[in-house]
Amino acid sequence: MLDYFSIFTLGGSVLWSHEWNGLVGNPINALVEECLIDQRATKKVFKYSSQSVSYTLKWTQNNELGLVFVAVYRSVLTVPYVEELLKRVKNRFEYVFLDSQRDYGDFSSTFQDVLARCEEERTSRVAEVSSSEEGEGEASSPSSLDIEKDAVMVEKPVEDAVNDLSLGEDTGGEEASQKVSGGFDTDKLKALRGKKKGNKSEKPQACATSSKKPSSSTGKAKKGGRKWGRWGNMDDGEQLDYTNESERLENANVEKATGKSMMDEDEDEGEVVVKETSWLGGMMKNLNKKINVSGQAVLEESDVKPILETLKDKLISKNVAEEVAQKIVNTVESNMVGKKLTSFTRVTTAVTKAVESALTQILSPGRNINILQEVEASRREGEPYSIVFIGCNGVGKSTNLAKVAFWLMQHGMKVMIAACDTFRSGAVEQLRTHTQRLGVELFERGYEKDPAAVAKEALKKAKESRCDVLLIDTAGRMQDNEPLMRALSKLINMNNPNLTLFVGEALVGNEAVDQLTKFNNRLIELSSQDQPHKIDGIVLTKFDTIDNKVGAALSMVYISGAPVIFVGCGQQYSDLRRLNVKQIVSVLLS
Amino acid sequence: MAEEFVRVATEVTNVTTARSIGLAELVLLLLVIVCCAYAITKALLLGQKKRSLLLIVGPASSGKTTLFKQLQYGEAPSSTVTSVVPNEEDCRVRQGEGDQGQTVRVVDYPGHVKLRSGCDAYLQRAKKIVFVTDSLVYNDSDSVREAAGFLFSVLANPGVLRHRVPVFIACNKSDRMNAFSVEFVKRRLEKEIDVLLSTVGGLSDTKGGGDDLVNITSVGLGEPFKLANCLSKVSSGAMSALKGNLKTLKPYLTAA
Repeated sequence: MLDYFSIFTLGGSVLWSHEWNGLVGNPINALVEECLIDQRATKKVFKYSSQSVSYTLKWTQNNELGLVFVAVYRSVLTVPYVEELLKRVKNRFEYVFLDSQRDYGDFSSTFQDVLARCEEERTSRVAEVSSSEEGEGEASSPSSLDIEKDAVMVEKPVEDAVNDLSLGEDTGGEEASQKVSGGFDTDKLKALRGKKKGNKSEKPQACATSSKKPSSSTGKAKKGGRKWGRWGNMDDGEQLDYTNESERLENANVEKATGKSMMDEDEDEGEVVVKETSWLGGMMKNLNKKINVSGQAVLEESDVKPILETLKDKLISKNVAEEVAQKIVNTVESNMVGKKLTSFTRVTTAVTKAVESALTQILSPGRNINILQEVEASRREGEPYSIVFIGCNGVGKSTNLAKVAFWLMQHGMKVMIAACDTFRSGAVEQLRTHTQRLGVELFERGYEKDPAAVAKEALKKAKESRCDVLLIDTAGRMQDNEPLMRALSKLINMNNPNLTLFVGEALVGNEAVDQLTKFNNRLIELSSQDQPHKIDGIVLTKFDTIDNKVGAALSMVYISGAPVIFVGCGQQYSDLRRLNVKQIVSVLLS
Repeated sequence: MAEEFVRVATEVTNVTTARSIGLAELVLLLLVIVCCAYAITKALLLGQKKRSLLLIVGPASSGKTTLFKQLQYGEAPSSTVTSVVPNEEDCRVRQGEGDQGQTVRVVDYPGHVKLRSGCDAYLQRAKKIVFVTDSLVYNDSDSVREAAGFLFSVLANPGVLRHRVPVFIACNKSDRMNAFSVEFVKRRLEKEIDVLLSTVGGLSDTKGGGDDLVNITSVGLGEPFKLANCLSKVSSGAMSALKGNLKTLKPYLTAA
């Protein structure tokens, strides 16, 4: 069952909420940050877990009024009517919402009403579905999976009734009826279970009657005239009849349509006259759509969609992964539709602005990462600050590691480099060349060693020799190479680096999605810790080779949720930059 | 925008004169022109950047929206969630019970790091800035670092610096037992900003620009950073937005 339901504004004030069970952690804030601020508004189901309790959040929003509706329940439960509930509550709340009002305490009764209705309808629908299924019986054996699902749905009310009972006896009549319906449901459940076991052919009709008898007495009285056939067959028949009819209707429509078009061809003049009179009005309407003069036009999907399509193409032409571009565009669309335009804005301008701010929000770092400041902090504690560089083969991990070392040295940090690429021959020698040129210490244990152990030793050594920063180089690996991914996860879990940087080429297109998703997922899945290490930041390399195709930056940041921390843009040690978010956004949209 | 409009307007007139104009259409056209004139002036007035706002900023979940609602309604909301868009409202700020008070435009800007880039537009229009900080988190170095970084970026904002916009550091949640004292909060912030100053300006960005070290104090850069030395006047005080204890904040709000 639901744990929490909340209605709040985008401004952050909760207008109405109801708590059934106390929440652990703060799932609502997590939802706001992940879905609304991080531009993933198309994600309507959100999972959150805190201290071994995991919640599922479903939400919907009203753009015109800037409202968000969220339902929270435990992930172990299935609450099948949540979408319906959200939709109805949204509709009801829109009526009572007033800008100036701040207390919606009286909405509680409406909400309880809607909730009860949703629960009830779900129960009856399950009954309906199962009865029609039984009717079909042998004809098309329904997959056991479906039955399973239905069974779970039926289970819900039973649980509810039991809960209510254990809570006490404040509502006598209601409870009794619920109890009865609960009983009926268990019957049904048993029937379903029995059926699942394989005795389908064994008098399905009898099953139907036995389960339906109590329901027709209690359920029908409660719902008042709701028709859900005494026999499954009847329902089926009606269904069939309806489709036939609609088909017929469709045919008729087609005939009508053709007739009319012929007529139009003949009577061309009449049409023109009509147009003449509404000429100004039509133009005004058109004008108002293009440049909103009155400030009242509500954006519709048809207004926004074509503009977003061209923007999406623009993003793709800048080498943004197609999937990412599509998701961003969808998010902006779902945020724009239903909004009122302010006076004197073109739809195009408004949409472009929305995309622009969405891109800015995506690219802006979600956590302030000032490496120098963090190094300074850990120096005060006497611990070396460790940074691990991970990534695919040949993207420039070692080169950019050397650049970062150079930059840190410029700021007076004592740097040590650990060669944990014990896999590719020549890797250690490559690093040695860098360290000799930079004049920093190299920690290496040759090849064929466990990289995790090498990193551990390096950390110890760095602490002993009072280094401020330890940069750990790892072997390049493809995201699908399972053994190497395991080794990487082990290295990170064992050594708990302060920062895990993913090194990726700016040249990459659609491939970026796969790389980052898999790296991040493998790190999380293979982690043994409660709070797994994810990718904290991105190093974007070979940035000088891509001209204005800067899309990889956007793809990578969107997929991983980690900001671009360094940009490598040349062959010199000094060619390391920060990302200028404003510039990237303007290039993407140019 | 204005040129665009003139273009469209001439288009409308051209088309209209080309055909015979009915009286009704003429009236409609006149109406349209009047509406346009009104909208243009409105847009121009809005575009003017007057420094009149009382801007509430600060890291996420430090109590900005609660303070905003407290100013708006005189009582704290039952609960709040992370804001996504700014709240903006005219509020009447009273000194005491019988006081008539004055109306101030108050803006509560979301504190989430990702939304920070949009804050500049409001800093440009701010007459007073209340920097809300959660005084419970001052034992966590990450939070302190974030707060200090944010405070510094507010103080170093060119507009704020030029107009010497006064800043009030509101140490919120002082009603709680484990709240740190104002002095402690200030000391931690100063220390953290000191570290920040020593690390500012390293990498230039992809556009070629870098952040230059701006001196936001009246003393040399070599001196340890003190909030008292800032060019903008920085005051501070403990408060509790939830409990409505705004005693230390009120004089700052009502000062000219």
